Amino acid sequence: MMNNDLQNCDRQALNALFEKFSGKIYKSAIFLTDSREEAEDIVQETFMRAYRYIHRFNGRSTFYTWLYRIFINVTHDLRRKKYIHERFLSKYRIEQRTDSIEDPINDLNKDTFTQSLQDALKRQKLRHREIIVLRFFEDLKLEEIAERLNISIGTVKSRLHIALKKIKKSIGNIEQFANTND
Amino acid sequence: MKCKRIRNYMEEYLDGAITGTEKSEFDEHLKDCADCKKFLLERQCLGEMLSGSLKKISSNQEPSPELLKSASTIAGKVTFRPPRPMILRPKFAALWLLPLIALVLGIVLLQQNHYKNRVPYFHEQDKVSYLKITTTHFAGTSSDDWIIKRVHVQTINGEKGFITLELTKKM
Repeated sequence: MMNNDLQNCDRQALNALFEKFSGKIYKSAIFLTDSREEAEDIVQETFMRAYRYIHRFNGRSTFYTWLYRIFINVTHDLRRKKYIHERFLSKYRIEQRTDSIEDPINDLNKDTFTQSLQDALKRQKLRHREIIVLRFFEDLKLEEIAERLNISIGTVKSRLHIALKKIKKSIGNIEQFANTND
Repeated sequence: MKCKRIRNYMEEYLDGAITGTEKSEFDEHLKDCADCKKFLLERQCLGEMLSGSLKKISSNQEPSPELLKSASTIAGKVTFRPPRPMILRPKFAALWLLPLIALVLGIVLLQQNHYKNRVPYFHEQDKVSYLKITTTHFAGTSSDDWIIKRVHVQTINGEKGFITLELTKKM
């Protein structure tokens, strides 16, 4: 029923959709970006694209899976634009004006492991962060991750293996955290 | 079962995707091999800590009220793009576009293999004029390359007119 309403461009249905999924998308965006502001931009852009291309949803996957793919594409696009912008700024040695926006992500009172993990995640490539988020935050199985990202299971395994290896290297011996956090 | 295989399929094992005799072999190997057992335990420990930490980080993260209010603004700004007609979608466009391109190419190539030229002739009464068609009438070609496809004689006043030769290139 919801899909028919969306296809018929029912704005109330679109608002309901936003209410239902924006929180989930936002929480995933937090891990894939550097700030709350960027995460919110990604959420807005994701939903704008979803509304615009709603007629392309054919029901072969769940709606959230389709929406999540849009979210991933938006994240990559914004990352690319940000990279080009930063390269431009550094090329012409322009000082980037930064508003003093607090980044609550880093303001939490975190245990050592969580802080180390946060730092380790920031250093990861986007495609490895995505796998970590889907595997350990959304608790998805390999097959589900493959469907969500529209890649093969082999690719999921390969990226997961690399991501875990890099995290292990960044945080060092995990036993130290296991002992201190008990 | 070899250690390399165990580690390659560890994620599937943790997902519960390994079943039956294969699972029994896995379990058997993990009982006997200290290295693989350690690998599994470390992976499980890391996984649990990652999961716990990520959920802890996100538990304090909620979208701002402004973002939640923006839903109706977003919906209002969007212009819905109607779906393209089926015939214009890339999947189906090939069905009519390729034959069309083949047809156009075919016509162009066929034209290149045809040659027409009109040669004037003069016929006197009771006389027969023989018109010698030479290769000079067909600039740049050799008569060996061509087959006469059609001869058309157009008489203007019984005495003179044109002979049109239509040639096809020998394959």
